[in-house]
Amino acid sequence: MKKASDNSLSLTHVLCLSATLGFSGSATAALFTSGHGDFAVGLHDGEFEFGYHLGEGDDTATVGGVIVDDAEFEADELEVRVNQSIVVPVGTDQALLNGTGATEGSTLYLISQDSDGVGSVILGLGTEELEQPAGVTWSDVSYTLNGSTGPGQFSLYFNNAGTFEFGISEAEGTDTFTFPAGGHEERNWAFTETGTYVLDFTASATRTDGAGSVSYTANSPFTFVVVPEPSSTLMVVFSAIGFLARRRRS
Amino acid sequence: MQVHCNKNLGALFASALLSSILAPLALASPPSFDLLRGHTEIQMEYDEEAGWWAGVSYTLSTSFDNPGVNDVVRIEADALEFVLPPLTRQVSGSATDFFLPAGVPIWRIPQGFVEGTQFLGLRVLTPNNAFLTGSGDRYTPIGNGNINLRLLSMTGSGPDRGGLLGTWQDGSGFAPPKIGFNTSDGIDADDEITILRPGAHTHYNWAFTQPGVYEVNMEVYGRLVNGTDTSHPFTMTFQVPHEGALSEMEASLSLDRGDWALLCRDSRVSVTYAEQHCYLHATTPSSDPTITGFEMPFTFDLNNPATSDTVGISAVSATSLPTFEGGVSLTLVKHVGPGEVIAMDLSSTALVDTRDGLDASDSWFISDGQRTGKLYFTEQGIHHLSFVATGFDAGNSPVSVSRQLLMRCGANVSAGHSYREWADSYERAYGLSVGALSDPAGNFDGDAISNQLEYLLDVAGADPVTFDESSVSGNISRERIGRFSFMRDLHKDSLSDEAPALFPSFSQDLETWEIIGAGRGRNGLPIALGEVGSDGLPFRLHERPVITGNARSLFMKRDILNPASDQDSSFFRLETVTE
Repeated sequence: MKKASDNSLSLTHVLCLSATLGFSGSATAALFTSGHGDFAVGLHDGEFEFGYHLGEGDDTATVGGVIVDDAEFEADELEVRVNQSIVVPVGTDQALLNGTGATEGSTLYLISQDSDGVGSVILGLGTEELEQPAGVTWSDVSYTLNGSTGPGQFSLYFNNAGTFEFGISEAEGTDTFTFPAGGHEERNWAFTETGTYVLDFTASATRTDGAGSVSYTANSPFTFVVVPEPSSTLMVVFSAIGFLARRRRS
Repeated sequence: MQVHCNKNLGALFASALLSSILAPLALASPPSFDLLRGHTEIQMEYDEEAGWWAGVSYTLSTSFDNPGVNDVVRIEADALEFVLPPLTRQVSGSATDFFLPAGVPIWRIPQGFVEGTQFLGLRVLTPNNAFLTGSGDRYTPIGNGNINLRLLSMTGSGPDRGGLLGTWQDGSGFAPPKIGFNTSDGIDADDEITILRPGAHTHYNWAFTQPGVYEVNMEVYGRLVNGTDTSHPFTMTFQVPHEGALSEMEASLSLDRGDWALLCRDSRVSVTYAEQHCYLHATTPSSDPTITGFEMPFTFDLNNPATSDTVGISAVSATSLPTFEGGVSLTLVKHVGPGEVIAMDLSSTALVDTRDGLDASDSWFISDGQRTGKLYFTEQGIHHLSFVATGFDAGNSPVSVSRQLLMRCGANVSAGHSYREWADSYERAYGLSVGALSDPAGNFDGDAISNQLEYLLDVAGADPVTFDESSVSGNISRERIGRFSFMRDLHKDSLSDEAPALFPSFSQDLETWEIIGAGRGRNGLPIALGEVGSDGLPFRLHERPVITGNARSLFMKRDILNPASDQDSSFFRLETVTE
């Protein structure tokens, strides 16, 4: 076993940390275009925070054309690009159609749970920061979609070996779900139309220690920019000039 | 023991004073350890100068409080094993129809996060444009390139008993699953996970179909942009634990370098268990009209054939026979359980019978050949049988006497018995009033081990009525100070952190305690947070097994190495929750 002593193997590109990005407090949201990110909750200096964690360990993420790792963002500091889509095939599981609001033959826009984070984002739920040393416990985290704006219907679900577990389904009116503290999981984020969606989420959880229980709640707006998926040829070009393309969008 | 928690925590205060001499001892330990749960990656790296590296990585911290700090630990592939914990046990369904019929048992490392299980990803660290894009013999210069992971072979007792491996990835559900490995039709060029791009991070399902050891021999490969093919083989080891619950007692004794062991074999699947690593479950009503209760067949011999798997004992020790000119005897010296226990051979000769008390007559020479018969328990419940083995010289003088060898049995009570079943059994065993042990947070015998902990540590011989810290702390190996040993009973503790759950913790000042490895709310972290090996790095919080034998059961002996080896003292305890 070896303990990594430097980043030379893992980073063949310039690594910029969040502290140097200058996003904090900026009124202009940056576009999160690829790599690994999480809807993350954490308790920092007594404040319950609900935003993004981008990058984890040797995984990185790209924001506004800049590679970031171990970076935290407020929800309103980012826009998440959704650039994958699928034409819904005939014979699709009815539960999947019902939950997403898609119809056979329609186009559905996705961040897929099996994305590898290259050329598109992979987005999960992260609750690892709700740490529970001896004597401290956290309840499951409850997520609620309070409302949304956007041209289509949004859903958030997990495909568990063929069983579709919908946390959010605007089509079916499912607007709340829970996820355990200390966890981390990739999810499917589905949109029925292109355009910009602002999803108003609340996350809440209860911390219990020897002094009693304290409930925390945070409300954050998360923005997703759903763009048409480029053709395969265009994707190659985009991957080569991605930096410039993202700069223009942001 | 006062516990820093308002929950009904019980705590075993099992301390060990650790001297500074421990550090070099610990560093000399073999690097092997295992992971029971947590988020890890199969990490594949390529660098033009350094070449390939493939192994396992995990992230020590997810707090991001110190952004930019590289806290990724890399572990050589051959230095650890992945043990599939109880919550991976499932039944095959539609998702596995590419390699299995529906309705058969599987052990699945899930693609998604499930508390108490492995969360095993794939991570690629290769430069952009170092490789061509493609797999097999089909490549193109378009794109940033990729590598691929192919299965070469699979060895070990799992595949030897027909165990299969399937890996696949569930996506959005609008397209078929991506299938990686499928050994049901043999292993060939189709068994690969393709198009692993620079910077990729993704998760697959890993499903196995039989208990045992799986040495998964893989190769990461690609074609460099200059047209050169390059590859790197490596092996990952997975363990599917045996249940360890036996409906028949096939017993023997072994003696290796002075260390006796009471063995139980499961010939059907070729496994040998050391005592405490299995549980004998008598489910059949007694067929003897003179005995009420439950029975199970037994054989006892001094014939120790090699088996595919040994659990809790090395293969060498398991096959080492006790040989004494005057023979070998086995004596029942203690029975804790409701009612009586009787062992009767086929000629209706009682070898052991506690109805008239325990004395020297509850013993038999087993050098005379195989003894076959039935073991009877007159009352339903949990029964601890402690034996002593003795070797005699030609003059019939004892020349070797074993420690007490504990065999746990259940009369119509399964290995995964509830707290209520356990309490009821001990209440009847000791003639206590009904409900005397009903409070898990209570401590009936006042021995600093809560009832709940006694329940979890029943596997180690804990007794809720007898002040018996020694029976539990006997697992703290004082002659090997520097590590704290205990038994995990994964029939009772699923590792989900829900009650009942066992948490080892340590302290350096007896005031501040920290749970070691994964614990409540830290399921995303590996259970072993540590660097092990000879690279001179300090140990971190770390739990590792004493690896005796090649396989595991759900009754596991665990070790914690001193997580603060540079300090004069460290203290360990076990904690649990009762809600």
